Amino acid sequence: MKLVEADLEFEINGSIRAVKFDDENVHGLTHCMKAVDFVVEYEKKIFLIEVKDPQHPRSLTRNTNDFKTMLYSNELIVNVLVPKCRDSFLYEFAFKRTNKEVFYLVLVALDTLSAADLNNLTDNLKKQLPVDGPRNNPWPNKFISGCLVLNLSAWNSNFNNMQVKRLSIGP
Amino acid sequence: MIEKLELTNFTAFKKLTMEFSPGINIFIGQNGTGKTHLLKLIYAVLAAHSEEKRVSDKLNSVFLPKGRYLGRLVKRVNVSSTARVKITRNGKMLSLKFTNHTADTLVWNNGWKGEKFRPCVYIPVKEMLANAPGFLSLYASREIHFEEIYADIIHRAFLPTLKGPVSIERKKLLDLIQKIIEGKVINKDEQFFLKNRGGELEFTLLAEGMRKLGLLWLLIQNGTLLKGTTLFWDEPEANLNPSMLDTLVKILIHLQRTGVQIFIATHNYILLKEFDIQKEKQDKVRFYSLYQDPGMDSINYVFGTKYIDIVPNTISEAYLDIYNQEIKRSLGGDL
Repeated sequence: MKLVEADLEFEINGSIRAVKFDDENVHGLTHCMKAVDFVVEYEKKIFLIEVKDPQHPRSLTRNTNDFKTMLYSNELIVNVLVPKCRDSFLYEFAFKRTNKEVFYLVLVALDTLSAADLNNLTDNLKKQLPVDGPRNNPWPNKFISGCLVLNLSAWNSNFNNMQVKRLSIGP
Repeated sequence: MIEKLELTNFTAFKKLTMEFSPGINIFIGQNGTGKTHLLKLIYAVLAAHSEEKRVSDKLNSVFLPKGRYLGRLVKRVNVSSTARVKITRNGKMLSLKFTNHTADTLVWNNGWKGEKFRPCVYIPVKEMLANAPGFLSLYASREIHFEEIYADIIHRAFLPTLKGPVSIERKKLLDLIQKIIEGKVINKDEQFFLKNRGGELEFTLLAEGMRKLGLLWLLIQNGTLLKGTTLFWDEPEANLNPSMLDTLVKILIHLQRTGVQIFIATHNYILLKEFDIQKEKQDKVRFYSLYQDPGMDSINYVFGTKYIDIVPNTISEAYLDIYNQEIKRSLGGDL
């Protein structure tokens, strides 16, 4: 099935469930809880997926620069990416749907992000979520099993079942 | 200004032609791809002129081939061969030629005759100012096995302060460094100290990163690093915390704007990225990536004005490798 966010289209294959999670008709509580863009569930794993598309053809250059500033200053991680993940996990947990490993994937469709940048952002996201609980005293309940910040090429080379393409470029 | 270098059979290089930016030239590449050799070669030839020494002697004391035998700098092949070096400076070419049987003489054609030379500066990886006391006299009186770049940098640091008014650009640079090192550098009896309100602190007690900035301060203050000079710096990042690199790059970009031509060899991603981010339209920065040409037994290179444009780039590849490992580890097994 296909899921679309901004100018990006995901072709999801072999999933048990794939929803546009932040759609109020699906979610019902977006007025009081933050929500990631998609939730995709496979046999062994659940992915919470957040998409950022600052290179959207209709987005202005100024926005791209604002976005970069937010990204590098950690503001995006702390104020946007982390709350969305936590609320979405809680929502799914309350529905008893977190009995598998849950992963948080952030796709940032920005060509200029290098592997070094992505490494750094992934580390920061991991620290801020956080994934392990307090130091020396890890949570016995599993929260987020892993998180990643990816760009388009890293995404497509790692997720054969969730290939993504830019709509404005065409098939 | 150094405009061009042409090499045949010199150390790791079979054949190489490189044109330089009048501003900042940055070399990256794996260990053994000849970055330091390029820096040392141009430095040795330039310094021989400003110090009025024989080029062959300077090459020998900077490279220290076994037995000070110049022929050992010829690219090693089974047959006898000849190294050729051509360097173009301000439109004039100097060419050198020596064989693997040459001890210390070389055939040359010096197009640089009659030109003026200011002292150029080579900052080696290892910081030397803290070891200054006694080093120069020891170096002068005995055959100690130290590349001459180490003695040279101390000599440059000891040069007396330039007379005359301090230009605005120079003042700006000095202020910028003074702010970080919180003081000025002075020397007493061959020993360097950082002097501030708290007193005088020996260089040996200072963090190595601070000593590096102190050295830059000295070289700018005494007028060694001025318009028309050349700065060679091997791994400026060594012993510096990454958070200091933005200031270091700011200083280097400023120096370039005042007319200093700069050659840098580095392994550091942050340093490279800082140049990419901080340079403005007027700044002339070029990145060179040296690599071993597969199957060719020779070093080749690519260059560009944007860091992201240079491929192959072993530093980026290393980050990509870590990132891919991170992805694998974070995701675990099957879906």
